Amino acid sequence: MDTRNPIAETSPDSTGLEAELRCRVARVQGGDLAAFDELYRLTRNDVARALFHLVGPEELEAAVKETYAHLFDSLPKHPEGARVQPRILAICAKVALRHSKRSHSSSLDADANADETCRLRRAIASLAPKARLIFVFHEVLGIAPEQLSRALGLSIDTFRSHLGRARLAILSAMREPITEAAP
Amino acid sequence: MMMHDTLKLWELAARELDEGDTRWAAVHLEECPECREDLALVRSLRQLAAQARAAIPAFQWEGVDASIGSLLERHAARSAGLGARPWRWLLLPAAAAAGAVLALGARAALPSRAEAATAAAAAAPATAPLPPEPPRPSTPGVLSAKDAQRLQDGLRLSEGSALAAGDSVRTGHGGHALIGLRDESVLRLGPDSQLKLSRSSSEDTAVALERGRVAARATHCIEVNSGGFRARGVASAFSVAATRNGVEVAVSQGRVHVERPNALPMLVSAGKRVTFSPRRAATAATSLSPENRAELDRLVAAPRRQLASAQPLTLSDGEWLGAPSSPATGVAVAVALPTQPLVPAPAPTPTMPPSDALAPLVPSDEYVSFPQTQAAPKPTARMAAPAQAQPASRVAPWQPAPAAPAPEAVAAYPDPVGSAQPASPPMIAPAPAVAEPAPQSVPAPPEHEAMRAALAAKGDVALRPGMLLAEPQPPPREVLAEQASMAAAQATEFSGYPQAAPPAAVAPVVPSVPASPPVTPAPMPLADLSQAARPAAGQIAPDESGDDAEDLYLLRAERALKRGGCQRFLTGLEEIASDLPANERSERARIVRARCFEQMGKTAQAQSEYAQYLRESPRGDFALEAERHAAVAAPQARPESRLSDL
Repeated sequence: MDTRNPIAETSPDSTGLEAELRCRVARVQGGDLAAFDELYRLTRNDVARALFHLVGPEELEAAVKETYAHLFDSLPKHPEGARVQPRILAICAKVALRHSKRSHSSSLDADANADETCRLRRAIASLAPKARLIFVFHEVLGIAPEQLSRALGLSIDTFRSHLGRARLAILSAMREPITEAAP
Repeated sequence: MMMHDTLKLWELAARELDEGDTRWAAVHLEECPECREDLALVRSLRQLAAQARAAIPAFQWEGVDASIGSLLERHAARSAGLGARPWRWLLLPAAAAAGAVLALGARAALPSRAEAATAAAAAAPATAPLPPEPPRPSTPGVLSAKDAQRLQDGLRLSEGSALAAGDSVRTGHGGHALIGLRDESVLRLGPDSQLKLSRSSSEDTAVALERGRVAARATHCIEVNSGGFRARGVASAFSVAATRNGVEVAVSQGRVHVERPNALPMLVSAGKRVTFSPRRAATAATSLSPENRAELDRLVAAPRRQLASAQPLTLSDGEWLGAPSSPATGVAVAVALPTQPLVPAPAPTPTMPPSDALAPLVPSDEYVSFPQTQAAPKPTARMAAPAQAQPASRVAPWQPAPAAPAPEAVAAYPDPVGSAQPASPPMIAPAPAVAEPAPQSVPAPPEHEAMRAALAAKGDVALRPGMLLAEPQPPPREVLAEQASMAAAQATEFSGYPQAAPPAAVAPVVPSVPASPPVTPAPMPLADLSQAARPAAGQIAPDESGDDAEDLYLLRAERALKRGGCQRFLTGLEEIASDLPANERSERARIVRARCFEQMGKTAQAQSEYAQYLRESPRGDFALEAERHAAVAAPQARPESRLSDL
C-alpha cells in the first residue's frame, strides 16, 4: 500500500506523488479523461479515510462522490504548476462540512461497546463540524497546522482555538464513565 | 501550574510547548497524579489517532467507480456535442413531430417552389465569412495492418499509413488493421470488416462500423455507430460487431453506453456481451469468457508503441475481435505516426459500395452490412469542410431568433452542433464532407431543400443543409409501430398544455418518425414549459431555473406515475437523481422514483429510495414523506464499519 497521503503534504515539493498528481491534472486539462480516473485511483483511499472520520460510514460514499465531482469541475481552473494536494484537501473539507450538517454516524450511537476506538469515534462524531474537521485533519491525518489553516482559509490563531476546543471536548468525552448499551 | 490546564497537557504530548512551558509542566506533573492520568489518556488517544492514520476504511468502491465513470462519460458526451442525458432522445419523436408540423405549416405558408428556389439562391451567399478553422490535433494512423485497404483510393494499408476523417478501411478475409488514435486510444478492425472514420478530434473519435468487428481501447471518447446503434466508451475497452442478429457490444473494461433507436439507452458493464436487435428492444446478455476478456485486456494494457510490434492478438474466431482461426501476422515495427491534420474527404463517399479492389472479399456468415444511413449521428462543426472545398454547402448566416429554443432543448436533438458550441455558431454548419454518411448518402428531396432555403431565408429557423424533414428510409415495421405509439403517448401527455408554436427548429435526421400521423397538439416548446405548466397543488414543481429538458422529463415521469406507467422512466430518473451535488431536481427525481417503485408494489426498493433521499437531503422538501415511508420499513441493520481501529 502506498502510504503517501495526498492530503498531507510533507514538504514544499512533497513527494513524487505531487508530481504524479500534477501530471494527471495537466492531462485532464488537455482533455485526457482517463487521467482523471488515474488521479481518482491514486487518491481515493486517502480521501475516503479522511471523509470516513469526518462524515461517518453512512455518508461516506456520497461524500466521496461529491468530492471527486467537485474536483473534476475545479480542475479546468487549476493553475498550471499549482499544488494539487491542497486543492483536494480544501474540497474534502468543504464536502465534509456540508455533510456534517446531516446526522453523523448514528450507527456509532448504537455501538456502545465501550471499546476505546469506538469511544473515540463517538467523541469525534460529537464535535462541532469545524472542530471535527480540524481535529481529524490534524490529529488523525497529521496535517500541519500551517498547511491546514491555509487550505481552510483560517488564521493560525483561529485554527488553534478550534483545535484546543476540539481537544478538550474529546478529553471530556473520553473521561466520561462508560454507560451500558441499551438492549 | 496550580490550575489543571489539560490543554497544555495535550500540547505537551504533541511536543508543541516551548522549553519553558515544558519544564513547568514536568514540575507540575510530578506533584499532580490527576494530570498524570490525563497525560496518559492523551497519549493513548494520540496513539489511537496515529493508528487510524494508516487504516483504510472498508469501503465498496463500485458505487463511486460507477459514479466517476458516469461523470467522465457525461463530460465526454458534452464535449462530443451529444446530450448529457441520452434518454433525452426519448423526446425525439415529439421533436420530429413538431418538425413535421412546422414543415407542413411552412409548406402552406411558403411561396411557390420557384420563389423558394430564388430564396435559396439568395440565402446561399458565398461571401459569408468563414469561421476560422479549428486546430485538428489528432493524427490517426495505421499501426499495423494486413490485407487491409483504404476504400477511397484502393491504397493497401501498412504501418505508418495515415488516415483522415472520412476514410473507409476494409479488411479482407484474414486481414486486420490496428489504427492508432490520439493519446493511447486504438482501434482494431477484425477480418472481413469495414469501418469508416467519421471524425477524430482531440476530444472524441467516431467511426461507423459497416461490417464485421472493431475493438476499441478508449482513453478519450470513442463512438462506434453500427446498424443504428451507437456505442460510446470513455476510459474503457470494448468491441462492437455487426452480426446477423443485430449489433453485439462486448466490454472488457469500463462501461459502454449504447444508444438504441428502438429503446432506452443502456450501459453495458465490464465482462458483459450484449446483443442488440434492431427489431426488438429486448437484449441478449451473456458474460465474457475469461479468455476473451484477457485478450482484450492485452489490447488495453499494451502501450501504444508495443502494439505495433507485438504479436497480433489471437482471439477465438467469432468472438471478440473477430480474428480468424489462424492468427494473422502483424507488422512488427513500431512507427512514428506522421503529424498530418485531418483532411476532410473531398467528395461524399458512396453509401455501401462494395469495392472490388479488395479481392477476394468473402462475406462472413456471421457479419452483416448495415447501410450507412442507419448510423446517423450528425457531424460536428469541427469536421466541417473548409469553404474552398464546399462553398455550396453554406446556406446563410446563423441568426438566433429571439424565441430560439433553449440550449437544453437543442441538446435534446441528435444534433451535436448546436449543443456542442452554442456560443460560437457563426453560421449554419456547412455540409459534412467527411463525417457521418447520412447527409451525403441520402440527399434531401428537392422540395425539402427549397423549403429549407425559404425557411432559412425567413430567418426564423436554424436549418442546416442535409437536414431531412422526413426519414427517407423507414426503419422496420416494429420500430415504427413502437415509436408511433410513443409519439402518440407523448401527444397525449402534452394534451393538457395549451398549444404553442413548436420549437423553431426542424429536426435533423432523427431515428424514424413516421411523418404521416398528425400530432396535435404540438409539444410545448421546452423553453416555455416552466412558465406554462404550473403544477397543481401537490404536484412536484419544476425547477424553473434549471434544465428545461430535465424538468420536462420529470413532469412526464410524474404524469406517467399518475397514469400508473412510470416504469420506463426509472432509468432516467436515477440518472437525474444521482446528480452531484444534490439539488432540487435530483431530490425530485429521487422522490418520484420512490413513488414509482411504491406504485409498482416494490416496497423494498421504494423504501430504499426514500432512505436514500433522506441521506442525500435530510432537510429536503419531501423529507417528511420520505421519513414517513422509511419509518414503515423494518429497522435496517446499518452496515457496521469494518474499520478495525480508528
